[in-house]
Amino acid sequence: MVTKSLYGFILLMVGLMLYSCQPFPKEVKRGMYYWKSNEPSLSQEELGLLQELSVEKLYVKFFEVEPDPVFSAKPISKTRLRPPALNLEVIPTVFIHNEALKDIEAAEIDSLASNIHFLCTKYYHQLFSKISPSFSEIQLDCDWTPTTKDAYFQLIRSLKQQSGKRISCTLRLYPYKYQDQMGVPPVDRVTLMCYSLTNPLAEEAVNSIQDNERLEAYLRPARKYPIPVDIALPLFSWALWYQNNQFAGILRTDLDAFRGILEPIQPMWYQIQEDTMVGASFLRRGDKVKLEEVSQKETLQTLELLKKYVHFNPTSTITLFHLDVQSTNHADTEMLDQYFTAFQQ
Amino acid sequence: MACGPYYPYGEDVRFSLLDPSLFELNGYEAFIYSANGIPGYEPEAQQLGRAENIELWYQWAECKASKEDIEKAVYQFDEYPDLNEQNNSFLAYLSSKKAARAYLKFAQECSPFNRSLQDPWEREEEDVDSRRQKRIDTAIKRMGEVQDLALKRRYAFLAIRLAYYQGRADLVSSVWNQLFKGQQTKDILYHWSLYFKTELDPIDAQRNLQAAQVFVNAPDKRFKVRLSFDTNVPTDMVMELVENDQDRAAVWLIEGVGKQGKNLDALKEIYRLAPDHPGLEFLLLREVNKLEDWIYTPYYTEFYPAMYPEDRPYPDNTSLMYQRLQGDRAYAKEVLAWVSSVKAKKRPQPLLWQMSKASLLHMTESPAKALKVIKRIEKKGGDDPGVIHWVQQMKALCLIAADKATPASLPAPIRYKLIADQSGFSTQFLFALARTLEFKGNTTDAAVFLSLVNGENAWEEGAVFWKTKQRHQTLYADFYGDYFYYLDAQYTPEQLVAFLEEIEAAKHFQAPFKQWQYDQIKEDLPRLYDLVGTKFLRRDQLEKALFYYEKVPVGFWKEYPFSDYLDRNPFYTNLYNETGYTAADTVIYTKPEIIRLLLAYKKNAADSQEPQQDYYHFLVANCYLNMSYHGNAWLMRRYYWTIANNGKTMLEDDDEYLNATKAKEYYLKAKEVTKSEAFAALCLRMAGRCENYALRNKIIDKEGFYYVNWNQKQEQLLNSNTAYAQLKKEFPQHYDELISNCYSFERYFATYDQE
Repeated sequence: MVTKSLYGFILLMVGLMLYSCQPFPKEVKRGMYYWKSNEPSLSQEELGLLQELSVEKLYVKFFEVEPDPVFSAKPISKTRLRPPALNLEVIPTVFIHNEALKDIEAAEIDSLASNIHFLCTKYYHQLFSKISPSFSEIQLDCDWTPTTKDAYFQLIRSLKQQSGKRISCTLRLYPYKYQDQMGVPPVDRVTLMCYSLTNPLAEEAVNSIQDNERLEAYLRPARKYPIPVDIALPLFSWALWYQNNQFAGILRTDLDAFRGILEPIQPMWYQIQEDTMVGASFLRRGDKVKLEEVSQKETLQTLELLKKYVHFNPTSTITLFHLDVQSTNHADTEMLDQYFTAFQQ
Repeated sequence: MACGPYYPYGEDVRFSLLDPSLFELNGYEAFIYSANGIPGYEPEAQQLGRAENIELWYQWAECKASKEDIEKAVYQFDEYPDLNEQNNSFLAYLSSKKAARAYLKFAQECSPFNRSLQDPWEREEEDVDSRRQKRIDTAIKRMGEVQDLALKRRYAFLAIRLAYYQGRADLVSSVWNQLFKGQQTKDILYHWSLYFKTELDPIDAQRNLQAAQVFVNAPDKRFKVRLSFDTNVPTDMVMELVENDQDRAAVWLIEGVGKQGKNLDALKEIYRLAPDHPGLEFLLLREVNKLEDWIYTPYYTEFYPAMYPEDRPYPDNTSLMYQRLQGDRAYAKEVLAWVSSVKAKKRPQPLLWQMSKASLLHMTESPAKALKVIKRIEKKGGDDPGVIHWVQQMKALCLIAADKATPASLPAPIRYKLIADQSGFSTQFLFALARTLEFKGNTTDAAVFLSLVNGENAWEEGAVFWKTKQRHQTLYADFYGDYFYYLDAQYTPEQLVAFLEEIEAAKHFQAPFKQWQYDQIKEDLPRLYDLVGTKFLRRDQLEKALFYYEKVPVGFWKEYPFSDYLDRNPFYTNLYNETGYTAADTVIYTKPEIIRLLLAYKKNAADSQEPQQDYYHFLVANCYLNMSYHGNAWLMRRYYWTIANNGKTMLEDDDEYLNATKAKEYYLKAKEVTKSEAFAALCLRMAGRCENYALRNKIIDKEGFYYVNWNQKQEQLLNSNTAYAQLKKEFPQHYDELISNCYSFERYFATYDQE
């Protein structure tokens, strides 16, 4: 019996080695996103997690850009975070609503790039200078479409030219796969987002945060993206709350706080057993929730798929989304550590 | 999120039966009497302001374009991108009016700048300012160039509005002086411009006068301009500047709509100065709603009014509340006298006056007169379902209030009308009906209607909360939102029995009214039997209590709250245990089982031939102790346990519940009849435990629950305990062990068997 198992294991390993022909990164930088807007400081737990995981790069959402009739585009949800001195690099990250690029005139793109650079620099010096006196990279996050592609790419070029910084951007799986249609952004690096592949409300039986089957469909066949690829993995959970079978909201909270009042009705789906307040939401008995959680086992499988299909440069960054002790759901730091070392195994 | 438990206040307690939405509010809806302050939501006012501007355009276009088309072109161009001269009569009219087309285009371009803007990119550049300034300059330039006076005034208005957002009081004044100052045409453009000028003017009497003018004449600016009206400026000074009665009435009105106190003077003055003033009806309605709060809220709910112009926070003094109630009724009579002096028929909304009059008559305890007015309202008919419901509701309340018989009852014809339109009743009406019946001695019908109050909507918006006159506190606080707990606090066992007999009889009723009435309650029968049994238990009428407990289906006792709070052996306790688990809790009982056993043990205890007479006295004492606030079967006497108010509920057995007096009595009886020295000592120790509770309660009463330092009171408690003194005197050899060793109980109790 033992011999048979061992034989099977060896066969599997040999198979994997033969199949895993993509170059792995020799060095993995450890990154984390910080996406909250209203918090003035990192909590002790968040600081502890950064330290325990030896995070080297913190991508902080500085603000979002949305369309505006007077200013063409304006920043909202601005960061207030003022962290203490930390041994890591802060990368100002800007989320750009695709609508902000829809009707923007060519002449206004340079102005927008200038504004983004101005505000990133201002906030960095105001809030993050304890960490280091300057920054060398700006990351843009945008779900661009074919109609906004030109404006977005022009914005990237303009931002790079005006700031003189390294520019990176996030990359959804769709533009990763369909480069002809979606173009290749003129950035220095892309961060491939390996989560949230579907609309959370679209499919009852699918975990919209983590779905390796769909992920593999996007990654296959193995290829080399024209620009160095980093990756982002999910580190959050949420509950989709339904009253009378109507979607009532997303509960971004510590799911353990109300797990005790849930009765399972089908995979991922639960019924509320007693009236309960979760944050500001009043959950009534009989309401349903869909718990979409990130499984550590599945995340390791995600990493295996990435190893299998993605061509990495010698140095890559793995970034976890996102630093928030409530939604990280008491993640086991030893297990999280494995995400960063998986490519070396 | 609030910290601590919910306690109703503000709109949750404000009582009102006259719904303002039944009437034409003439754009004053933002000032409806409400404890939520000024809501600031004024869709009707916004629409009125817009309508006046559309009318101006309509007249300008020689009535050749439809008002709908004007509205689309001026206000809704974003929603209709396909608007053109072919499908819009106003644009068609403008086809040959180049200057007007240019104006509209320019006005639309200016629209985004009509708000306070700061550069969101924080460059501290004056980009927005410069862009807005360009438009101000353009508006002023075109104002000078355009020939058409109407367009000239419109450009002037645009310039004033932009200059206001630019903070350029100088430009606002200069444009105002050029185009509007001293003009006879006081249309909406004039008043809109006056609004922006007023906002930037220094606070003084002139500014208040302008605010009053804007308030009356620019409905869509009412809410904001009311905030600019400074009540610290003496009204006399404002009145000195006034040149006509309309403006004088406007000052009374703007002052009156925000006033929390009495406002009859304003009503009288506006009526005298400007009898046709469109704000008069609204102000009267507001005064009636105010009086409803002052009178109905304390009368029906025993809460202080949601809003009262003085003494915040209110003192916890019910007699003061009743004194005020009388004073407020006297004021209601004054308002009533004035309302009666006005000929309702000649007013634009006669119904509002008549319904106000009927309400005031009801509030001033003249239900028979109110019924006459209601009859007149009813005769005139009208098909507004809101008015029809109001008539039925007020008629029902007045008929009961006017009924000279005791107990009063609801006449049959009213019953059928009520059921026919049950969905239209407000919760507050049903509650008022229940309370009126209760106050007039018909506690049975009162309980029936009370059971229909709140229902499944308890604790949601629109629910009613009330207190008992005695301020019972049988739940976590001194208010109720559920009929069951109110009956628990307020009703005597006899009143409840009568109510239960009515429900039992109602099972046979086929009449739809009865079926409707009892629909809610019949599900509650087991709870009500339990309640009446509990009420008899509180009087120690155990046989009667058992009679009602036995009517309860057995399964009921297995449910919450009994499953959670009646899950210990009530015949066992020791020196220290209160509600915690003990080894004796392998046996638990339902309420009827406890009473049956208690009766049996009492019988044995009373039997002098019973060899274990002392033991039965001890078991009875244990049971009484456990049924107290300090025991494991408190649910026998109460439906809620809390340390709030130190457990005091104002129920008739509070002394027994809190001080365990019967338990002490039975422990002492056990001591008297026992032949065992050790058991006698134990009985005194247990009697001392009961006495200790009573002594503690006395200290709390004197010093306040949260202020007692118990470490300093231990000696006092020990020394003043007569049972412990007796223990020390009669059984000194057992005293230290029983007093100091918490675990001595089992040993002493075991001696009973051995001896």
